[in-house]
Parts: sequence; structure tokens; C-alpha cells
Amino acid sequence: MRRLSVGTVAAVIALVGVSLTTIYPLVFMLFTALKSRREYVLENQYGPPAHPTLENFVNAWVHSKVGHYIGNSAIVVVVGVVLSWAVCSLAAYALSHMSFPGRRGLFYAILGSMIIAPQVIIIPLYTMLIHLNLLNKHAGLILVYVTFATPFGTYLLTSYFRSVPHELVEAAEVDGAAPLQILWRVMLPIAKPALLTLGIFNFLWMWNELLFSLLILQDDSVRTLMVGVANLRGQYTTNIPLLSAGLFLAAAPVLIVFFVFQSQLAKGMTVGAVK
Amino acid sequence: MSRRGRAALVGYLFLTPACLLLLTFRLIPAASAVRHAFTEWNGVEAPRPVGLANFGELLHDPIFRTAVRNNLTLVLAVPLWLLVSLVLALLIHQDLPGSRFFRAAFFLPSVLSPVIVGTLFTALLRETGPVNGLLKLVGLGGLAREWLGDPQAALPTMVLVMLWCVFGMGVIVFLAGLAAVPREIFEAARIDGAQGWSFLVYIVIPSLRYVIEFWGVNLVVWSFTSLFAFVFVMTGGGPGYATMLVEYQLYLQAFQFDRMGYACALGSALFMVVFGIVLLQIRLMTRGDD
Repeated sequence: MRRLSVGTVAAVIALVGVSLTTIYPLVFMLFTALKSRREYVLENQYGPPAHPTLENFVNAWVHSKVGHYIGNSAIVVVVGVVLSWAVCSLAAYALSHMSFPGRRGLFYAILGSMIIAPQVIIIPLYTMLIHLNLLNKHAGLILVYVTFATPFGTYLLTSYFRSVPHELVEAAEVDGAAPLQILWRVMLPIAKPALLTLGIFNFLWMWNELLFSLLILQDDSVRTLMVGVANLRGQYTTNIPLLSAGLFLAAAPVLIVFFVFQSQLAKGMTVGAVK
Repeated sequence: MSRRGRAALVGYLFLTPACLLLLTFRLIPAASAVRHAFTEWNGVEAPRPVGLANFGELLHDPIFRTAVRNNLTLVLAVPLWLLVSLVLALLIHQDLPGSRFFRAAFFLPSVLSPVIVGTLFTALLRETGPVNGLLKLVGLGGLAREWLGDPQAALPTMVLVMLWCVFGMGVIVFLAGLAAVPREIFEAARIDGAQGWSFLVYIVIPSLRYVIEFWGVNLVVWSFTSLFAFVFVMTGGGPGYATMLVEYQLYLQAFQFDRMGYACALGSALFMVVFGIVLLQIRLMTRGDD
């Protein structure tokens, strides 16, 4: 057993302290969501609920339509993630295992489009979507999300595909496989970890995003969860338990993804950082 | 067609969806934004050319000046964000008991939407909320205040909430960097008596230079382009203009005041600032390729 020095104990205390600041707000959210408004306001603001109730969750799901918004977000995110896989893996395969004039230039052009931030183009994008009849349509938001996910996704998959030996591609070509078949049967199965990382990142980004969604899906029937939650905050400034229940429902899918895929997430974060 | 020509065609075909999307929903709107920066435009009627008038107005707009100052304050906070992550990563890197737990606990907030974080902290930081409750409990009741409603405290409070959101990502990135540094380097420095601040400045920071650069540039880009939701949910830019940021002013001008032309000028100004930083970011991402 290692000897515990004063320094070690101090370090652990510091780490425990910082962990409390990240965990307590989430625990507070859950505790509050389980309290009646009366208990929260009059008796017990910070501790665990004395008389737990699911009333707030039911109200948030039904009356505040969190369930409806979750459905809309799920459509956007699922289609967005799948479409982004398709677009980015096609591009990455061409950029890593095919040769044609301008390959390097196209790689840098795709990556370089990152210099255009969402805020900068939001106004022309908005009027353009009106003209394309894509405003208040899930398809409009999905296309924008896939577009903004393309530079990083292509970068991530290209660097992964490059590590796959080109001989595998050549062998498949000799066997008479078409490029799409090689991508589907050879490249994608090998690249599963990178695809998983990309999928998780896109899921988190698309689920959490506010600005595009706020402007593109303004009609309540198509509205996504984060816009719904932001509105909830305006409606229930004084009903913190109900608000907490809504927040908890909105955060739950993301928290599940976090607990299941933590290590893939950590790997994805560090792509490009350590060379 | 030759075999080589056909192969090239397939390559271009595979790149078509990506390029078409980027062209339609990113490049063309960007060109359009720059073009409309030189017009008076309410989004409904045809834009009217006004030359450089929007940019002239920008230079004398006190709200824009405040927003730029607030944005720069956030950039100045980046070294603090880096330092917090670096110190915590070093502590975890020593293989203390529970290090896996700490890693996960620190990383947790960064997957949450700014909408959720912002709303949650608005509740925590209310006049009657738990933060003030805790301060009163430990006898610091004098410090208690409406954290997001106080013109002096609002921006620093936002900086701390943003730090809460991202420091865990920094810890993960730095831990990956530390894992690539040979243990002997740190051990030799310890034996030579390097401790505390000098250990950090002379040993750790030089060994992690690339990772710190990478993450620092990411945070600067983030501070200019990813904070809309925090402001939208927590303060609306107030009190007064204490937490106004350029990206939020752009949104207000465009979608609250119907001044699309002026908002495009704001966007162009933002673009010019971010341009250089993102080029640096891309250079760091592709370092060592080819």
C-alpha cells in the first residue's frame, strides 16, 4: 500500500471539492424535480426530498409538452447523425484512398469552411431557407446540422481511413469490388470506432444546439427540445420544481450517452491534440 | 474513358454531397452576408445599398463597444480556464485514489447543453437560491447577491459558469497529453527539486506546449462563437449591457430590430476576428500530416 503523504491528502480533498461543484448542481436538479412546489419553497430547498413525487415529471411531459419536443429532437438527431455518417464517410474515403487532381486542396477547403461561424451566416441562411420552403421543416434544420458537422466529421474519418493499409483496398479492387462496396464492406467495418465517436459527437451537438433550431423551427408543432426548454424557463420562473423536472428529462438522454460512451467521447476530444 | 479518369470521376462523385452542402448552406450564405453588410435591409423589402455606413455606425455604437470589451474579457479568461484544467489534470495524473471517478465527474458538465446549464444556474444563482444559501450558512452572507442581476457581478459569474462547463474537457485533453510524456521526465525534475510553480512553468508547460496551444485556440474560438445560448438563457445581455456579446448583439439586431444589414456588418466584423484564429486552429489540427 502506498504511503499517504500530506500532499496526497490535500490533493484528494481538492479533487473531491471540485467534483462536488460539478455533481451537486445535477443532484440539486433531481432532488428539486422530485419535490412538491410547497416543499421546495417552504420547507426544504437543498436536501433530498422528504415526500418524493413524480407529479412534476408528469406535468412537464404532458402539459409543458416536453415529450412532444423530445420526439421532434429525436427525429432531427437520428436522421442528422445517419446522414452525417453517409456524407462524411463518402468524402473521407475519396480523400484517403483515391487519387485525383485537387485532392489536397479539397481536403483543406472542407476543413477551411470552419472559419465560417454559424452566427456570421445566420441571416442569409434564414432568408434562403424561406425561399427553399425549408423553414419550419425538420429537413431544413437537418441539412444545416449535417453541413456544419461535415468539416470535423470528414477530418476525423479521413485521418482514421488513412491508417487503413491501402493494400486492403487494392485487394478488394482486384476481386472486382466497386468503390461503394469497398467502402461498405472493407472500410466502414474497420472504422467502427471512429464512426461511433463521430456519431456520439453529432448526437450531443445536434441534441444540445439552440441558435439554428430557434430560428429554423419556430412553429410549436416542429419545435425541438432545447428551444422548448428555453421557453419553459420563461414561463415558469417561479416554479423551480417543474422547471427542474423539464431540465432533467431534457438532460437524461445525454447523461445516458455520457455514462455508456465516456471513453469514446474522451478519445474523440483529443483527436488532433496529441501528435 | 481511361481507368485513371474513371477513378478520378468516382473520387469527385464521392465528394459531391459534402461539397454541395457546404456550398449551399455555408459558403453562399457567407458571401451573401458580406454583400448585405453594405446595405440597409429589413429582411422583407429589397436591400438598399448604403456603402460603408453600417461599418461607420459600428465604430460609434456604444453597445458594440461594450460587446467587444466583454468578448475580450472572455479571451483574457482563457488562460485561467487553461490553468484550472492543467492543475486538475496534473493532480489526477499522479494516480491518486479515485482518479477514474474524478475524471468522469469533471467531464460530466461538458456534455450538457448550454441551455440546460444556463437554466440550472439561473435557478442556483437566484437571490433565494442555494448559492446564496450556502454563503449565508458559512457566514459570508454579506457576499450574497442577485448574481446575474448585478452589473458588476454578472459577467464574472458567467465566466465561472462557462468554466464549469468546459474545464472537464480541458482535463481530458491534458491527461491525454500527459500520457504521452515519458514519466522519467517528471520524475527526474522532481529529484532535481523542481516543485510547485517552477515545476509547472519549467517542466510541465514546455512538455505540453502543443496540447496547450491546441486547447487554448479551441477555447478562444469557442468564446467568440459558441456562447449565444448562455446569454440567451441567462441574461439576455443584461443587466444593461453587462453581458452583451457580439454574437448576441447580432441576433438582437437581426431578429428583434429587423436590421438585417447592420447585423450582417456585425457578422462580417466577427468573421474577420475569428478568421485568423480558426486558420491557426486548422494549422494545429493538421500539424504533422503529409
